Amino acid sequence: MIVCNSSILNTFRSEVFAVSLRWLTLVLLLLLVVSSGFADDLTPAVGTSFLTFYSPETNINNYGLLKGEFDSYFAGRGNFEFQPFSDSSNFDTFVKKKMNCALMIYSRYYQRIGEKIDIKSFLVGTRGRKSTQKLVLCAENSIQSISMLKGERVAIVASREYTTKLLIEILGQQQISLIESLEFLVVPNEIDALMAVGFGVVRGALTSDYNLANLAEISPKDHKLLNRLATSNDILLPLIAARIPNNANTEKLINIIEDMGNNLEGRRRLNMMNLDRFQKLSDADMQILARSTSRGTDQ
Amino acid sequence: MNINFDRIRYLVSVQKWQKVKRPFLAARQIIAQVGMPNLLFRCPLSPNWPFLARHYLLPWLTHHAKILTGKRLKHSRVCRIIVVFSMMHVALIFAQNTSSESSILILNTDKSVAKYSIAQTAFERSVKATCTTFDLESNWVGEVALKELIDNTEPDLIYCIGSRSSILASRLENNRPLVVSSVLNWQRIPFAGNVYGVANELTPKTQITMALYLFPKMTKIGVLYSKKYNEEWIQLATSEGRDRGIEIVSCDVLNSRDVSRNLKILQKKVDALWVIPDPMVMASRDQVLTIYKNCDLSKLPIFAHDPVYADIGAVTVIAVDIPTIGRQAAGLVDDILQGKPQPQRFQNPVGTKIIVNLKNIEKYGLKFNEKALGIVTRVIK
Repeated sequence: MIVCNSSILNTFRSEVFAVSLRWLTLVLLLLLVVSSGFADDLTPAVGTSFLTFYSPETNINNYGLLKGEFDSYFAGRGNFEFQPFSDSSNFDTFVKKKMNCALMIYSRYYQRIGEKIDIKSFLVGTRGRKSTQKLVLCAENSIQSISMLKGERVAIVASREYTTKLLIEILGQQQISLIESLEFLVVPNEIDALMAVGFGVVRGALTSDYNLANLAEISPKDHKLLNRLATSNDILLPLIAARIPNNANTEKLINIIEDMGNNLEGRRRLNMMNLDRFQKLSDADMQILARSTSRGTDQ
Repeated sequence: MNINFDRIRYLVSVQKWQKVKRPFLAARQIIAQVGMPNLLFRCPLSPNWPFLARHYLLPWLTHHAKILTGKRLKHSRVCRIIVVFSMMHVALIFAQNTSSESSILILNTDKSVAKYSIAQTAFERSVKATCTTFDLESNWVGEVALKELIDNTEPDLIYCIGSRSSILASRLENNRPLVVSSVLNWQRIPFAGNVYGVANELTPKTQITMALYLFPKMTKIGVLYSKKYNEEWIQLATSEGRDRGIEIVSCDVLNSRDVSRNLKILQKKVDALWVIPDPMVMASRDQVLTIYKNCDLSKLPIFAHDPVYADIGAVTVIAVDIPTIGRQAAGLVDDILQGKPQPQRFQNPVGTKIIVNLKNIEKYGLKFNEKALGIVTRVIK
């Protein structure tokens, strides 16, 4: 009888144990689910400052490479992480959420993001000792004027929407119907875009003056085939901006970025973004930035 | 959406359906005063048109006719108005069909192959026409079934990805235009006049230009090739190299033994070896590995054409960018469907994917243009 009672007791205990175990598991699961909601904030180490990057100006197809390279560079220098974005809305959301981040953006986007959060520009990228570039719309030699480009295909490296806005800025509102008639071929880099004209795949290309000069060096024959149709005003190369007020870690990150051009490893990473170094903005740079923001072009 | 009243009037006059005239004018007046129902705008091509007419348009018309005329329209008159609306609807369909998107049949040789799948995705994102896709590998079909598929789909154009689908479709279809891509060495296939495409291989010009951009100090590049397969290609490469100040030192190989012997001769003469997809040179895996091993021992950099060689020691890979091929094919399709003349049946691929092995560059002590890193897709360290 006692045996029987103890067996009942044991069964009862094991059932209670099983039930509590189930409850415990449920509570743990709930905790896990609740905590995963904050995962975004918790995953990076506390105090991590981010270098966020978004560029609608280029057809970046090596985000993985950039992320790996910048993270490895930052690894021995502090609690920093490189975070590139291919999509503007994700970039905006991320930047709005994080106080401790520096932004690597083009001046056009600086104005747009500046409307949403308080940011300040600290550094500007340079290439060949210049902090600006011009965008050039060129076409094959037989196309002598903009009007002859109507309905033709143009090679570009940026997104279609962004290129359309850019062309309106370069050519003016009066050419809007011509711009809308253009077909675009998106290619990985500007040298490809320029060479596509030589192959007869496209009739024109929109590239920077820097790469047009590069083509003249590496393929003079292709360069001779091109005719400059229009050139933009000076455009600042990417800026390093940060949210204000920024914390000490973000300030340290900006200093590290400024120092990248002084060592081979850092310079290599910047070269991957078509830059040589980052430096403080000069008065002339500030004027260009003010001009480009007052024009009100977004994205 | 604009309603083409002239078109409708024309249809009415042609059919001499006088009875329709008056209600047509009534319908037009109503439309002018109060606008077309939103539903019509939203789904002018809806197959549920009779349902919409009965439950939506009839009460709508009756209501507005009463507001406008102050009288309740007779049912028969309302019905006639509905007939006119139906005719407008038909006219809309007709008008839309004439300016509508063309249809394309995409024949993919094997969608599970990454490069084919990438090309298809890029194509679908860029092309303006409506696409129907068919994967030959997962729906194993013979020629008869494929012919049936083409006949049933009645596409305006067929886009083939990969050699198998391109050869099969070109055999079955002589009338419709065909656009092909991802076909290895398209020149070897006797395509008919209705076949257009994007070549799968970068031209010597592109490869030399990129190599020169990455390594500006190089002046002599060696190439092992067989006359049987690549005589024309080597002539083109030599001429392109000459234009850019690079000497292409070529060595003809007749068999596998020639490869090792000629490689030894070339190693002494050149700054780099350009390994091209020549069936005689790349006869076996072992032979390829031997070339790479020998070059590594003598610190001779290798330029390759396929990303697969990046991991076995190629200093630089200058490969074709597959998404760009898809986008080029989409542009070609749009042009053909718009009736634009095509100056060349096959376009050269214009997008490049560049991989650089910095580890080997440093090991061999090469002078590398660091500023060219901006065009590099992958770096090996």
